[in-house]
Amino acid sequence: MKKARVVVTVKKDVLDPAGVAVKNALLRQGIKNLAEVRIGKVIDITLSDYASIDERHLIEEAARTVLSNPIMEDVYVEISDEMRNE
Amino acid sequence: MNNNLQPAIITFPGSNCERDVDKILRTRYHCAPYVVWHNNTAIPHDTTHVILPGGFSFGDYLRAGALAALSPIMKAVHKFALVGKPVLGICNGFQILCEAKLLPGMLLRNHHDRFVCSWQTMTWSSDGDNARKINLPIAHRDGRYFADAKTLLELKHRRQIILSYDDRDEHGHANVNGSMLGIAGIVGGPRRNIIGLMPHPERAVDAPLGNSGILILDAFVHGVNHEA
Repeated sequence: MKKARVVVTVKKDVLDPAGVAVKNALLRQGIKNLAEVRIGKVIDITLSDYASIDERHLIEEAARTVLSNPIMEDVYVEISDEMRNE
Repeated sequence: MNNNLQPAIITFPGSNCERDVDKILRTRYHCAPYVVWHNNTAIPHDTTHVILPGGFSFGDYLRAGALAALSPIMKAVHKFALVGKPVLGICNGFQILCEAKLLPGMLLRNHHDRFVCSWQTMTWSSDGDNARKINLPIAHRDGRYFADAKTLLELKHRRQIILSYDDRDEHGHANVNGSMLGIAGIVGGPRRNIIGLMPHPERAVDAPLGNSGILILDAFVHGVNHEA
């Protein structure tokens, strides 16, 4: 199968309150040397075998415009080998 | 009936404030609003005002307002807004307007990560002058207004910050949700015709409970197109 994984992270300078809450929980678990915890999203996309290079470009565009908001998020797309070797 | 006023309330899966908006528009302004489902591609041609009500469109999946901003009706809302006709987004409606890029910035998770439902003291000024202190209810988890420094400066200089929380920290962020510059509502669009608000004016329209929402709804219905 042709797969793409879209990874969305909160920009470095933007406060991530969920990350702060998780950091505090991990501190209570005894992990003392935590500097920071940030929470992002992973979006896995599977395409049919008929998917073309055009669709790969559309996914890369959607990752920037729909799946993430550039005002507060960074995004990158991991493309599976099968898809890359088109 | 008010023959000059024909609002359209746009509803999405998960909208939940459309009836409150409908009720105050009917009782105060004597009109019969259209209620338009998001899957439509057109707004009725005689529509004079568009309102995006509060709620949790599409369950806030991906980001609050992100999926609603892609609904078929939003192309028509874009067109309506960009010719300068009045559009009001309340709470989730504000989030949708930001995701649709009809207003700058976006609304992030509250800095304390909790849902807040409370009355807040705010300063309202539709034109940058004549500021008034009012109380309005808020109910949201994603109400932290965020934009880059350049956008914030522009909003300030162009007097686009029409509503701001009074209670702020030493950085000027709202204590209730972490909003930058204490922003609770902004105006934008080609003719200062697009309004986005986190508080719910439609929930503050009865004197015994506090009715300062009427001030804002009057400004929207009768026009806030004061060029700054």
